[in-house]
Amino acid sequence: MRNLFQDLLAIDGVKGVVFFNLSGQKVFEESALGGSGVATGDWFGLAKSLGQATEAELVFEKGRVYVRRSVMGVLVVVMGLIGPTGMVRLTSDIVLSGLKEQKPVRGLKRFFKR
Amino acid sequence: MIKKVLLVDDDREMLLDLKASLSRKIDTVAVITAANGREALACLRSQEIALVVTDLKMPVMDGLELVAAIMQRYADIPVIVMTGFGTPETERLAMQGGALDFIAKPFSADKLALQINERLSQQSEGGTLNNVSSAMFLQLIEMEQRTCTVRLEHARTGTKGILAFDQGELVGARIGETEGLDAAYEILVWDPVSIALQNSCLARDNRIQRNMCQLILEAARRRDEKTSASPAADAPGAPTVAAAEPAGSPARMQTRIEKALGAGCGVESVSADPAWSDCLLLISRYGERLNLGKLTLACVHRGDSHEQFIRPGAPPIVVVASPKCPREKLMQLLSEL
Repeated sequence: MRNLFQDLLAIDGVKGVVFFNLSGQKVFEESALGGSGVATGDWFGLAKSLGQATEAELVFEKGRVYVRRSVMGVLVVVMGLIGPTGMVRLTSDIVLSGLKEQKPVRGLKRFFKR
Repeated sequence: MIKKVLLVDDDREMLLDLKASLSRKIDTVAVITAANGREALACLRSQEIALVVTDLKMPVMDGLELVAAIMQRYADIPVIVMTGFGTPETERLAMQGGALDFIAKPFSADKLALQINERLSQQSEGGTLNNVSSAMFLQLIEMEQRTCTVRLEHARTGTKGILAFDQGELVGARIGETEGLDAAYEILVWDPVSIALQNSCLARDNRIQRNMCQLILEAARRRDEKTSASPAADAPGAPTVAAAEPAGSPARMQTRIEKALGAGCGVESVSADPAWSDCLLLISRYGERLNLGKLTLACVHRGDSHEQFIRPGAPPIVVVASPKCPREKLMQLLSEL
């Protein structure tokens, strides 16, 4: 799972990433933030409360949070104040489409590189 | 009409000599001096300057920075650059920055006076008119599809304003520090005015994007509203209707956005929406838990091409923008407002 989000975590200015599945369970979290990490707060509930919103960029006094809803769940990325939002958006597209493609592979196929 | 020429140089002795010589040689100008770029900008903010002559190497703020600042805010004011380090490279940089002329030190006061005269006479090369209605005259310019810069002086108050036309389309307006639509609305109700015409458009980009008829109607409406709201607020330079709105109101915010980004910047609507209050409060709490401080702006995509920018407040203000809107600029502006 970490490999999937590696590209996001590698972007300069990204401080943490958390991903919730459709039932609101935390599937992945990695954060350089102190305390209880990014998952503090009901980001999943918040994303739901944004109604039809597919993505949101939240600008705070000392940082930014990018929230993205997809058919697989909710992705939350915490950045510094000068957050590279454009790059985060682009990489999120790739990461979330990568999640869709992750299906269990059976038979001989599992030995081949995808 | 006496025009003000601003001389900028840190060499005080030379500045005073030059001021005395120019005042003797050109009797239609008043010479004002400043010791560096920052002082010059303060003069530009407080007075109607017709032309700037500046040195390049100065402390605090140098000539190239000053030229760039003038081009940004007062593109209609011609700049002549003088320097003792006149290399083709400095000349190129000054011209690239927007300076019109370049004069290498040492030079005679006669030579500079000639250049100043030439530039100032360009400002009325298309002719001058006195005691005309600005709205009537400007409609003629639109009909004739002229490309020009019009300098107007309100006969009653002496306030000066500038309008720039590109093929009959009004693309720029300025009265002192006020520019764009606000300035245009104010100028269009001046009656009578004195007019000087320059046969080139000095606006760098289109900050108006409305046709003359719409502008005149809106200007008249604003004047009527202002008059009915406060009879004493009739003087030019008095706050416009939008400025009379409480700070942070949607109307005021829309005016400020249009002023900063231009009327056709892609902002579709600005409105107050209390329905966002609870959601913003929740987001703000989560942000505080992450030590990110208070929420200053939320940008939301709902799947269609438009984006909503929500500014916390009581009530929250929602700005809807199309994809052609300069997103980062709008976000910065909304965070600062």
